[in-house]
Amino acid sequence: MKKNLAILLVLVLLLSTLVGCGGGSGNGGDSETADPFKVGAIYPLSGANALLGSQCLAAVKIAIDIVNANGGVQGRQVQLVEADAPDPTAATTEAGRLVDQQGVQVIFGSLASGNALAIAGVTEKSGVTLVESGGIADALTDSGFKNVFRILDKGGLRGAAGVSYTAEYVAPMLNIAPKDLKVAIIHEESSYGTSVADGAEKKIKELGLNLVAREHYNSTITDMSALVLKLKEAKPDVLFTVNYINDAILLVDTLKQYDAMPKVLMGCGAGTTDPNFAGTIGADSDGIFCTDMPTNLPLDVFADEAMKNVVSEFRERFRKEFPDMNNVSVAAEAAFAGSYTFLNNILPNAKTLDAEGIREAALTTKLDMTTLGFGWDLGDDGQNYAASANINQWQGGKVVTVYPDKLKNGEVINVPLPIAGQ
Amino acid sequence: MIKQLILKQNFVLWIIAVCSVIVPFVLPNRYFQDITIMTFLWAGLATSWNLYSGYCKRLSIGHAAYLGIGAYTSTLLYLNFGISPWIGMLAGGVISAIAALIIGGTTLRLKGTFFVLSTIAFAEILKVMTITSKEITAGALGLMIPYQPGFTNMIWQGKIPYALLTWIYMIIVLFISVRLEKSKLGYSLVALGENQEAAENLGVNSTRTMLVAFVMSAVLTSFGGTLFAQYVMFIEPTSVMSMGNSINFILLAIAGGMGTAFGPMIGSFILTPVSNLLRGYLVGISGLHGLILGLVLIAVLLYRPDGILPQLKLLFRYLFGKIAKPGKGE
Amino acid sequence: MEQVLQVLISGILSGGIYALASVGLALIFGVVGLVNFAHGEYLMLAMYIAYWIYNFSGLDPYQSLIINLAVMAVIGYITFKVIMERVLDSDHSIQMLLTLALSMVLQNLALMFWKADYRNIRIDMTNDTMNLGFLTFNTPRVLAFLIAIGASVLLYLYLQKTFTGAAMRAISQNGKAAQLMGINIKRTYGLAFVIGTTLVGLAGLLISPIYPAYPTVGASFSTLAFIVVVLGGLSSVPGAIFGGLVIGVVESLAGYFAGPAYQQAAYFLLFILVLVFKPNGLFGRS
Repeated sequence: MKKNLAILLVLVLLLSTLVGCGGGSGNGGDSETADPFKVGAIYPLSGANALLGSQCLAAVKIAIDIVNANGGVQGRQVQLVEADAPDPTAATTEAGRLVDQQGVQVIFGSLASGNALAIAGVTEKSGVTLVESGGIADALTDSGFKNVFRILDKGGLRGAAGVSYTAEYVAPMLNIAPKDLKVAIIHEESSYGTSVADGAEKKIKELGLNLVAREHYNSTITDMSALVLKLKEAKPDVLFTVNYINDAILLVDTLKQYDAMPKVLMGCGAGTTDPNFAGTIGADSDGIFCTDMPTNLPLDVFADEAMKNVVSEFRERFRKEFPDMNNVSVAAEAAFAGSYTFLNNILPNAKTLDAEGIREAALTTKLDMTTLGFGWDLGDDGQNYAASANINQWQGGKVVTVYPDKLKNGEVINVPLPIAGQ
Repeated sequence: MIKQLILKQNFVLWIIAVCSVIVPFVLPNRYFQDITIMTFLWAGLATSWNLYSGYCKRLSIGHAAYLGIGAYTSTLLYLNFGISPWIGMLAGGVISAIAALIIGGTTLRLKGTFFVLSTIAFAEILKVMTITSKEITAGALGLMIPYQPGFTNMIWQGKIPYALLTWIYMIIVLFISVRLEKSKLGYSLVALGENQEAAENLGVNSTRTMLVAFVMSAVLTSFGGTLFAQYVMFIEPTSVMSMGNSINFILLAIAGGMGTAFGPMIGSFILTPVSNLLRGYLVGISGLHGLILGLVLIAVLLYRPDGILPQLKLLFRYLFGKIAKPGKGE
Repeated sequence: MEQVLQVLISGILSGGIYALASVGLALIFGVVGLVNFAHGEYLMLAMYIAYWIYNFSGLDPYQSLIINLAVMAVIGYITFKVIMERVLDSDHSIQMLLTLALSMVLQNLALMFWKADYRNIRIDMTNDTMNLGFLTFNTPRVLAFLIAIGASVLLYLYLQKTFTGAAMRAISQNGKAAQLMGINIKRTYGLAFVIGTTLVGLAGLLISPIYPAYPTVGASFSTLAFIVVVLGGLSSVPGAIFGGLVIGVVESLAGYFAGPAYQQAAYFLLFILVLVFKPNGLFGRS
């Protein structure tokens, strides 16, 4: 009996310490200067998306460090509160914690669209700003939110960009008229893959290409044999895929094994753009397209000397933290761009650092260029309409941008792919 | 006399359950209120799960399926036809009942392990079906409920109405559970859980008993699913019908005390806040939060497999005894 | 038609792995009576072990096989002694939940120490193919299949031909009687558990040249193993072998004819159908 009492007492003490600590200075410790500007970052740090989530968080931290080294925001040092949201329900609670308990004014997120939508539900009601650099669901800027600002492109735009480029540039290289071009879509089944694939399909129908197959799979799939064999039957000329890194590698491996590689492989996002893609696949990656937000742009793309330095510093620090990666992942680049641009370019212009002041600054500030390679020009809905996807290609283990012209730094190679099947 | 009343079964527990409604009102901010709402909701959900699985000890590890049916039914009806979630909730209950009847009818008579695995299978199939029926359910993209506060919409601006709603849900399910415990159905269930053959020999109609309890459990879980959807305002197949959620039902019930009316509630009262606070506090180290929960569960299972509730009861009696009889040498 | 044959073969190859991943579970369930929800996590651990050995010494998974299995056996033994032994007499639900909690702990330990990164082992053989007429096989998969089936058959022979094997079968048929016959129950339980977890570890090792290791990789294999084992008749090793092959084929055919999205749902559906019509599995005793 005494033992039970003791155990209970310990538990109660533990609990109250947690609550006490949670309500106190929070994680981040005390700040030295007066009145820090509190911001939050909510990313999946456990669960399926933990890998990319932790990279995004690291990117945001680097952005904050750089901004603080330059004097902070309107003279105040930026203080970060981080949160782990493996799913939308956790995102809701964590957003609540950051807003209600920690008093953040701006939240950077979210990698997963589901999380973004859940967080927006909380921030809108509380007059807190959400700066989105990962979730591409259309609904995020189509729902009338006043305090959600997205730097990267909307859902289907990425898929559509890949399709448009294919019809306009790739088809002629193959000597096939668009209306005779046979295309297929394979995508992983989460909201990410589905949004991009939907956008691609819409564009395909619009341009009159022939969609011969569309399949989706769960990203934990271990054997793509059936999928690839089915695809082989349909004999597409061009294959659009949306994957994460793991399944992207598996797909390419399986396509090679069954001699089913189409003439053109147009990857859209995450998996095919991942720095480890070419590293793992090797020389066969040459010629594989990857459409995504601009990534690893050569420094001379940035006319502004200061921006060049910032990008270079970011990449250096990121690589120090993730030494196994050849380059920075797109997700991390976007996370950096979103947080850095907002802290460095938008917030200084805000007359008041509250929701209204920030919104005004966000909408009225126009930028020609951000670290992502395109500008900042928000519509009333909070969507950055200057965002545009790059068409890239793997060449010699490097991501080379082949479109749009203003960012181009190489010519298209390997159309059709040398490893294409019969 | 009063001493008798206090020591009477469940009296104190009812006091705790009823008085817990005060908590959201006295908490300092909305973050804690949010945790309270999830605590009440999961208390109700875990108690619903317990109605079948707890009493007759046949674990359903796929209860997230009914959470999903409830959430999706009411949300789809609301988004497509403007039907109030209050009605949608009942509709979800009907569909869950039908699903439970079909599933239960086929799998309840299976031996323990087979039944458990079939519950997992059903939840997975449902999840896949939800993802692939994109035209109806928006598949992996999920459904977002637009923010239009109003009683008929079951959407409110503040947290207090949600807290009251989930608290009422918890109380209702508790009430049903307590009544069940004392009813013939309840005794039959427990008997089946102890020794199925013996119970059947004594005249318990195992199929009917289990089916009734199973359907009740599914329907009540489904109601909770609607509340869940209306609170989080965004649902998607992978996070609603997840294995994680299915496990949570069991975790809370076991930690508190499976097979008792108030066990799951106690489990939720302790674990839901701790889990949420832990995640916020330990955010720096991936995996630590889950690790601690797992270790806690192992500790409970190894050392106090009956859950915390019996220990709390003993503790309470001990303390009460000390207070009611001040000074040993009377 | 050729395509279908190819799909079928590919399914059989996968089925071999599934079989190996499941026979251990069947053994543990048959002998110890324990449903091990952490089963897949041993697969995950073996994959990480293979990865780290490869990283530090350059030995590929096939070369490091003995070391890997030895480590897995030790881990299995520790798990048994520290956790399982205590609940051998407890309620089945307690046992199940304990293994569920164990799986949470193992997954999160992996996440904490090794992060969420995907760990790939790419060896020269990874993308090699063998051809037989118009059929193509991925070499590591063929190797995996052969070793997997070989190990499963070895297990079967062990159970049939050795004394300890007979002891295990005896316990699985009637624990009390076996005890009365003088069989040391605890030790046999321990042995069965260790063999079971080592076998699923072997399965992990065999797929490591073609599939990456990450903390939650074991989860889907756990569920799969349960399905296979139930299909085969819970405690029957030959049943698990057959069940594994069946699942592999069903998965592959479903993926080809219906689409990869339905792969999992197909064998779940098969599972429920079998339960409805043959509640003790295809090979089970009542």
